[in-house]
Amino acid sequence: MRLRRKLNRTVSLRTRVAIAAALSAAAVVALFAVVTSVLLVNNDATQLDRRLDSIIDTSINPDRNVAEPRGILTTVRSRSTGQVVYQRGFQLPPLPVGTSTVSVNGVDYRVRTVEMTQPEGNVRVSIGIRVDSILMDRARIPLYLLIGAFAVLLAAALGWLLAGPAIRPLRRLTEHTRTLGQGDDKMPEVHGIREAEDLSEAMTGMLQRLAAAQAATTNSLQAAQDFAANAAHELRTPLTAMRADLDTLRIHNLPEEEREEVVADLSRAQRRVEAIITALGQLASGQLAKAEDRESIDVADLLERVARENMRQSPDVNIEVKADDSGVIQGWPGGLRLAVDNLVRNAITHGSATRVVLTADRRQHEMAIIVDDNGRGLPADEHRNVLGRFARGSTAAPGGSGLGLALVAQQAALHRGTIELSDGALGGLRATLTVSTAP
Amino acid sequence: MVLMVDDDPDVRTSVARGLRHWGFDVRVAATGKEALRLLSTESHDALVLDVQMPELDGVAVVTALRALGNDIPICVLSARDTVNDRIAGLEAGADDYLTKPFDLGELVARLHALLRRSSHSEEHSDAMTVGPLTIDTARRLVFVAGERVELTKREFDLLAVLAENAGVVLTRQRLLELVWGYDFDVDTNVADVFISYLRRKLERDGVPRVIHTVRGIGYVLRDEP
Repeated sequence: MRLRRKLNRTVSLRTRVAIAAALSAAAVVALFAVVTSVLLVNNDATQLDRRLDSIIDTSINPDRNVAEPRGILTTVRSRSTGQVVYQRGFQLPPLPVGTSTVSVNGVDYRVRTVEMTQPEGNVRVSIGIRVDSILMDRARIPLYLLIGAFAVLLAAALGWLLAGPAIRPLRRLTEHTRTLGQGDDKMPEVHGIREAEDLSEAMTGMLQRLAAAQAATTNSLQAAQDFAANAAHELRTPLTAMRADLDTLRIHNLPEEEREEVVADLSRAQRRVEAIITALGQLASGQLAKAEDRESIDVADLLERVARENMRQSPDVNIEVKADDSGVIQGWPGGLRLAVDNLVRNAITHGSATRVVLTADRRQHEMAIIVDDNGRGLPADEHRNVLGRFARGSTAAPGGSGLGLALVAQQAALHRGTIELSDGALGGLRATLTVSTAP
Repeated sequence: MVLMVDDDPDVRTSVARGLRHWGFDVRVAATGKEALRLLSTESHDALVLDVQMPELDGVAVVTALRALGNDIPICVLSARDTVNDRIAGLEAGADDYLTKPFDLGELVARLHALLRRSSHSEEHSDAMTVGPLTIDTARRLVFVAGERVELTKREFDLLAVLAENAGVVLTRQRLLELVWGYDFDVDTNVADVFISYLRRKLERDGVPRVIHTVRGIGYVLRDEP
């Protein structure tokens, strides 16, 4: 793409404008040159004719002493006396040798004065010719100005016309940009000007980035909406049971035994609501985990604590920890403990396990925390699905929040690791939680 | 005998127990499949059905039952208060819905009414005609401009009531009483939902509206607008 564009790069706007300006200037100059040369040629011809007239006039009537507009004035003076010895036409004033412009009877004459040596004595000859017979007519100056102004206007008009196609791609780009956001958010491919192409490419890039950002926002919004709907559904379920139980207690006068049963169900449902709310809070705080809250975690110590607490709550269960030399990792201690605790509690509550083995295994770039149990396990096709939020295994005990494994998965991702369920060596389920050991 | 279907054991236990204390004979089922199996082997009088269940959900159960010609009164339970779930269950042929969590007394009252309704069958012999609409009450068939329109049982009952009272404005309360048998104060928009279904089905192919809304009061069936 880059190479192809390099090879046949389009003309830049600068070049296009330069070419347009050059073309319009050339056109004006050419037109002006033609007009001027015609005028000059005409002028030259007229001058030549006038000169001829003067020469003829002078040759035919050398002695006629008349002042004629196109005539040539000749005044010859003696050098010694200054006396006029010959005169044709109006008399010219005495002048030094050389060329000068003098006014005679209100008419400007260009006069050349030379010295001549003649047998009768040296004379000074002054020959004058009317200035206006040679130079262009002053009266025509406005005409020339008009022509000049016309040329400027013409150049402007030509420039306007020629610049039109030059900036057409830019205008197309502008028009497309104006319609952006009205459904079709694709930038058209614009050709013809490099700047416009670059701009179009940059805008396409920007639109793509915007679209991607928008899609990400929409996705997370959708996820949040789904989550809220799921959470509402999860909470409504135990609340439905509670409401029915409360209505039963309220309306009927139950015998003591039945009443106790209903109250027991009520408090179980209440605990379930509590568990869901706790898990929702934990999920939210997992989402808000900050990097600066990371600490060194002694894995063996963490596993020991989880084992101890669970054995205290369920005295029939034996929990063994194999975590020698597992060392220290960086992470969020609360979150990691919650994850391991959830796995152990799942084994006891949903797997009905009586024996759980916690193993920490330090590998190259990760630490594997393996929870093995001798419970009833989970069908293999559910190993992946139960990790989702509000997903429950088919063998799960009632009353779970449906969020336990989702919390584990969240902590695994937070610690740059994974969670995997598989059939375990002890006959139950094996949960393998890996966390990164990289600092 | 009432069949209560919900995948959640807590809900199943508590609601069934509550209904029993109200004097209902209650059976429970945890899945849609189990419900269909129980219904096919034994006769039940009413069905309380959760919409959201894994695998065979409530809507599928209603659809299957109605396709089999079973017109047992069905009240669906929805945990989401979005309109879509209700419409899904009702459109498939359920008679009413409740949003979880609900008042048990409310469910009991509706079940009683639905059971009463289904036991006595309306006696109309002749066909009724309103504008482009023909209602054959004996064969329970509806024709719009000569074309037959498929209606669920509850939709037909609602249309029949409106047609019997053609030209008379019926309030929502009166409709709930006549069609659902709810002669008690009940907080539901089920009548409006069914009116919208009826309109959608009757007004196909540009047939002009015959069920008109009288704002603030109720609905009326009449030919002219």
